[in-house]
This record gives sequence, structure tokens and C-alpha cells, in this order.
Amino acid sequence: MSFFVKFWGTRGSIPTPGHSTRKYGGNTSCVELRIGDSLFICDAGTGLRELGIDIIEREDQPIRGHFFFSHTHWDHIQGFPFFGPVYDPKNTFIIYGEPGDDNQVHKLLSGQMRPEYFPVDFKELSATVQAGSLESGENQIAGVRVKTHHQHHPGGSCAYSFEFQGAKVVYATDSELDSTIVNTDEAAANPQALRRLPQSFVDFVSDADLLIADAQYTDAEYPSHAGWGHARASTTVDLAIQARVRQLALFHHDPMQSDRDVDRKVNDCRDRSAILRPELVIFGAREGLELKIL
Amino acid sequence: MAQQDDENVWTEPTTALRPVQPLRHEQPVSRCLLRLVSGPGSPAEISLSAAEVIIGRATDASIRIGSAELSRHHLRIRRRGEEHLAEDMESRNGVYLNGVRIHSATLRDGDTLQIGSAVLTYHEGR
Repeated sequence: MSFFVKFWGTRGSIPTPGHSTRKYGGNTSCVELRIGDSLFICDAGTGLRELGIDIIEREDQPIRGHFFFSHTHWDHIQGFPFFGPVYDPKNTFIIYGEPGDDNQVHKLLSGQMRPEYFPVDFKELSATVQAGSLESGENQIAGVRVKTHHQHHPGGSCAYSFEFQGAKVVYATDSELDSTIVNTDEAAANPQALRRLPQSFVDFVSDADLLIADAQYTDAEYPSHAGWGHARASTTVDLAIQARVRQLALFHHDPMQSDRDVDRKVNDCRDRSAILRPELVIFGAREGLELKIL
Repeated sequence: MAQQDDENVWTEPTTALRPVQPLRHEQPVSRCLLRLVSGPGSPAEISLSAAEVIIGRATDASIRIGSAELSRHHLRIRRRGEEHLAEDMESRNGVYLNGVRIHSATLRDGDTLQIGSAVLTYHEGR
């Protein structure tokens, strides 16, 4: 059985098409996980549109897909009305959000398709779109073990862990890790010191083959954006180090960052991990990049 | 009206309008190429004008690199619209894009691919 991860949208906050963002892409959050025969989709940012085109090209059988929403801010839901497969009556999609919040996700997805916002009503979608439900502990979905963890973000957000036949991928975007640092005094006094994060979250991420995580800001950018709900990339590196992650995909790039800026951010993160965990592979998530996990 | 021979200044058309030059990021995909910058057979240039180029050690590969580190059919570069897609053909030692092992990726100008000890750089049209 196989486990593939493909990035369709890696930008944070707002789409940023253009020459300066061509390498990493300008579409907002959307990651496809193909696990065995199952289709899992993390977030429905604008990258979802192209995933839909790809699915229509490659699939001739009815699709049963599972959407996992980190939260419902615009940049994570805007692609949904443009997702071609939801207009095909053969297909079924199940919508998951943070445990206890599943119906709310479904409600907001349909709400953005009210006539004030969009010309096609949610009721006109031909596919079956239904709210799923997650327990706060462990869930089994299409043979995949799915766990969740609450994150710090205005309005809250949810991280997901997907485990299948010994492989583990964690999707943890829109999380202000810096507001959860445990050793705040030490971290403030010495920027090079490892920023310790809550053990429950470290355990949640532990030993992931791939961590896809919010790394929106550089150290220089973060102070003027504190409280906006996103991570300093360097703190995300510290999470990956503590959790003994194998590969870290820096995700949710700030819309002000050009490809060169993201390249620099990636290099700075590699420098930070070089001493404490040199075997950690760090890269900037970019559109069109596909990894084989299993 | 006076005319200036300067491409940034409008001149009255004479026989035909000059074709618009594509922007740097819109270079014709047929002009894209790979440069083999290190490893067996380097230096060399590999044209990507064909719809598909297969690199490996097999004699029927489009580009043959004689190295035991390469699988017979190791890396496929496929044209997809105006872009090129790099795909690992289930090789034994993998395909690395800018140091990260990938299954597939859309290539961008300046990307580095490594297969075994062969290092290739991707260049959009010149």
C-alpha cells in the first residue's frame, strides 16, 4: 500500500499569483494525501481548484474523499466552490473539523456559497457532501488512524495526524507556536536556545515522517505580527527537533514573501537545526511537489 | 513623426509589428533544458523539446548515464502544458530536488535534481 502527499497550495492568508512567487506558488492551503485507495484533503484553499482538475483527469470511478479543515478562515475554504468534483453526482465528500465542531465547518462552507457571496448555491452541488464527526481521541477513517490536537489561533484551529502502516504525517497549520513556548524567559534571553513547546503537542507530532507546519514568519517579521495566529519558522524548527521529526515542510508562507524570501527562510531554518538535529530534512512546501511517504 | 530605434519607444509600424517577446518567466517550454553539471558524462546539455525524456542507465533511455547508482529508467521529465514535471520512475536510489527526495515535482528555473552522483540543473528558455 502507498502513501503520497502532494502540495496544491502553500501560501498563507491570501492568494499571491505572480512572477515573484512562482517557485513556491501563490495558492492558499491545500494538501492532498493519497493513502492506499483513499483520498484525504487537508484544507480547501485556492489550491483545491487545481487538485479538482487533476482528480477529474485521472479518476474515472466515483470518488469518496475526506476533507479535514484546520479551521474556516477564508484562505482555507475559498477553493471549495471551485472544486470540480463536487459538481459530479457520482462523488461523495465527507467534511471534518475539530472534534465537536464538525457541523460548524459544514455550515460555514455552505454559508460562503450564499448568493451574496457566490453565484451557485451549496444546494446545487451535485455530489453528496456530508458532515463527518471526529472524536477527540483516536479515529479510524478508511483504514487510517486520525488524531487531532487543538492549536492557538484566533478562533482556534485543529492539527491532524494521519498514521498508516507505520508511517505518520502531521498537518499543523495556522498555529502561533510562540504563544505556547514553555521556557519563555530562556527563549527571550537567548534566541539560539531551543524553545520548548508543550509536551502534549510534542507527543502529538512525535516521530512523524513528515510534519507540514505553519512557518509563516521569519524572526524579523514575527514581532510586528505577534497575536495574528502564526508561527515563527524558527520555532517550528524547534518543534520538529523536539518531536524527532524526519522531514519538515515549512508551510503557509507569508503573502509578502517572494521566492527569494522563502529560500532565505528555509536556509535560516536549516542553519538552526544543523547543530541540534542535522538529520532533519527541511524544505519549503511548494505547489506541485509530491512526496512518497510509504 | 520622428521615429526612434528604441524598443521601449513606440514607432509607427512599417511592414509588420514585431512579435511580442515573452517575459522571462514565460519562455517557450520547448527551449527549456537540463544541464548535467556533475557526475558521469558531465558537462552536458539535455534538450527538453520532446514531450518526454527518460534518464537512466538502460540503453533505451532517452538519455543514458552509465552509472550503477542509477536505475535503468530512473527519472522522467514530462512536459505538462507550459511546465515540466520531474517524476521518479520507482528508482532504487531516488530523485532529489534541491536536496529533498521527491516522487514528482513541477520544475522551476534553477532547480537542482540529483540522481545517484549525477547532478542536473533545470533552466527555463534562453
